[in-house]
Amino acid sequence: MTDPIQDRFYSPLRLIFLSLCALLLMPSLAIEGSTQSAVVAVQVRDTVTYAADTTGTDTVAQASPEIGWPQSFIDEVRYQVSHADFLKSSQVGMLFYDLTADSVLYGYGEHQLMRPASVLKTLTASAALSQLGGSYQYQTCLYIKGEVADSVLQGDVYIVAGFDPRFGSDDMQAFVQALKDQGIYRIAGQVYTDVSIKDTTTLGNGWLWHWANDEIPLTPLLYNGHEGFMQKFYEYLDEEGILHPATFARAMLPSGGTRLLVSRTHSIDQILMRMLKESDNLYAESLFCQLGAQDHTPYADFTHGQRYIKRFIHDNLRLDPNDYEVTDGCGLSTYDLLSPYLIVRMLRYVHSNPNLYLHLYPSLPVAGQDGTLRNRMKSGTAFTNVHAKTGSVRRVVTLAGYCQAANGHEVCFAIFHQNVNSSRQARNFDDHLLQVLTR
Amino acid sequence: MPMLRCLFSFLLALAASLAASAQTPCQLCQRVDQLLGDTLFRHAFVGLYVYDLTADSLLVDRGATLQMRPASVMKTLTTTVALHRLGGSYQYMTRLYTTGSIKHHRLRGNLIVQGGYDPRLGAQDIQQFVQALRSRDIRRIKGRILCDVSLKDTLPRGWGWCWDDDDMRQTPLLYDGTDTFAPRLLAALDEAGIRYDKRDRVTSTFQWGTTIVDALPADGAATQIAVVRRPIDQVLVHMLKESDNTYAESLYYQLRDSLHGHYPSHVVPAGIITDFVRDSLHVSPSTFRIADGSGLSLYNSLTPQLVGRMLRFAYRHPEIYSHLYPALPVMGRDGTLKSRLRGTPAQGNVHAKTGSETGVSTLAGYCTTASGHQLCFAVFNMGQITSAPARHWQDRLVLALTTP
Repeated sequence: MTDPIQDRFYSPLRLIFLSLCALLLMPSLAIEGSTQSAVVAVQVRDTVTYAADTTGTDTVAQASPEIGWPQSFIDEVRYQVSHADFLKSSQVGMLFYDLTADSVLYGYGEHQLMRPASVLKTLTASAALSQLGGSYQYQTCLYIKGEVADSVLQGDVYIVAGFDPRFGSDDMQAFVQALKDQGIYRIAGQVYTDVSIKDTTTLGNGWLWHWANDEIPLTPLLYNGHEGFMQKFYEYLDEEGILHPATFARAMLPSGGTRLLVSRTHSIDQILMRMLKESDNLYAESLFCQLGAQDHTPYADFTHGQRYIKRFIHDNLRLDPNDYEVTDGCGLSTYDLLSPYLIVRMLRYVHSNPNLYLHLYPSLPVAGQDGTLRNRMKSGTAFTNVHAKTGSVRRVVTLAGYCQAANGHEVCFAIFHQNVNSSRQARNFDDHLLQVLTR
Repeated sequence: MPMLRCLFSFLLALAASLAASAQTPCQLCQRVDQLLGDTLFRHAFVGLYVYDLTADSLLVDRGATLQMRPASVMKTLTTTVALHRLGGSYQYMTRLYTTGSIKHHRLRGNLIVQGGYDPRLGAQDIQQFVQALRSRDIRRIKGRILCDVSLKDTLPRGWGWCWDDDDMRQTPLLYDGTDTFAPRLLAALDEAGIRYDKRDRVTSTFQWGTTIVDALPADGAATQIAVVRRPIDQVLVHMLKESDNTYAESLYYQLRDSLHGHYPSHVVPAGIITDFVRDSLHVSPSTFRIADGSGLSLYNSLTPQLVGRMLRFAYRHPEIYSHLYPALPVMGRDGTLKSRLRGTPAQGNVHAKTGSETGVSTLAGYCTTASGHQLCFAVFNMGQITSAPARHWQDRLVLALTTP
């Protein structure tokens, strides 16, 4: 039985109290506008819990409240991270590691997977140095098959491509000279190019189709870092009066019956210097290809190079390679995903291995002085102090390398920005942090 | 005594209403907060925006201003702008024109097909064109057969797409979604016994397109003899349910002005979408970028907040909502959500568009809470190697929103 009086009172009262409750709940049902600036990102701020994924001496140690550290740096990074306006709409991950004290200096979102852009080149370089060695040589070879009689090669010429972007005029001269030395003035057979060092795709995996206009095609037979090797070869032959067939064909070097005439080489250091200082994508892809070529699989695709990078991540950096993705050597690929943490671990690994460090460090751009850092940090304490690889693709800005902090400690760092509207803003942010770190 | 009873019921009512209101938003917020503490976010980013449409209030806003790749959730924005601008009764048009005159069964002029980027154009429609010629007793075409593909630029793929994306060449004259219209038309003419000059025969509409800037004479000397109309709804359902990229690009290029002239590039529709977002959603153009209609492009970036506001806008505009909502995949029932969350309270309840690219997983749409509140939500997960963990997390999220 319902009481009519109660009902009459009940409904208006209930209305009043509902609205009262709504008022009470206002803070939790925050108006949209007021919350806009409140939340920057759901990034993990409690950064340094590395014990689980590492073992023994390779553990990146917990931050220690060491005396003598510029607390002002940490305060400044914290301030910048929470106040920089552009970080409200973009993602950032960073890790600063004190190599001298062997401890984390500061980390923020350093496990987040982001596009490394050209910072990936340092990983490609380290993996290559580790797997191929610092004395590795790029090779381009000239073979002949058949006998030479009366200045005529009764057989074929084979050019085995080695994806050497530094192959130039003196090398071409040496090729032609080698034929002359054999007394060859006519090639009666065919000229073959063996380009089986990599597959025939001319763009890297995960590149955009319209980059075909901007990037040099990834073909393993290059002359001065461009296409047109065979055209140039025939020009040189013509100059020396060596008769050759009008065309050439693609074929793999037969397993027997051939004779090596000449092999032209370039050292890995020559490649690294330009690849890292100037962030040359072709050079990086050629190095990625050298890694994949270790499998000796004809026309190997990107997964072969990828396997060596992943092996480096597993064996040397002691991280799970399945947590990361690498599909090219230069960082253009939209599929590449790394974390600042991985890059710092790599920089630390390289630092502790002179075999790698002696090749990598001199190849990094120097702040305010050369390479892609030529026009950055041209003054202040970071000038010539910071040696780091830059990364820049659309809406992505990255930086990773070494510097010496104010207290004389060696520091390695990686800073990844993603989805930034103005790359200048992000670059200035990074430069500022490094100035404070070294001050 | 009545006073006391009054007071008593007053207290009861207070408690009841407190309990009722506590159950809906706060409990949901708590659940979502718990989910946001997931270990997934040690490696990956998330942006989340949930809005209570019934109560007209913001429920969750976590990283909602972060710009990220929307992936195929982009298609909902393309749809909303198209519906807002063109209306729900908009029709794609593919027109057949003749120029010159018809004498003794001969067309002494050109036959022109004007591409309307209709992704469903097929055998039936070509028959309709042939029928139009036969009904005018045309048995021989003395001029040329031209395809006007000036609806969009001649780029074969969208701006910011990967070269290994396995999508079809994007051209505004399609046959069953592929670039085979011209050979199909010629084959149909052959079959119908309509003769034409074989010397002019070309096989690619793209080639035709590049040779003909304006197939239609400016003076209006062309006569329209047939038109194939395709209602926008027929495009929307397949586009959103199955996340069809060609369909989405076709809708994207319907967004144009006569001012923009022929062969508009991707920036023309992008500008129209940008204007809509600025003027109708009140979001600053500096916080997002549009590069295509399907979301394949690397160069798209939206915020969960923008998508959430768009869904709210659509909800409040029946002329948009009545077309958008039925075209969205339904959880556990159809489209790209067909096999997700079957046998849960979310099944049949969540209507949302999925998005999936390497490292990106997104979901945006509508659902109803256990207490009957209508919500819209947008969640962007980014930075995971495989999409499975992110999708799983999204499933837990929509479950949290829909379970009692």
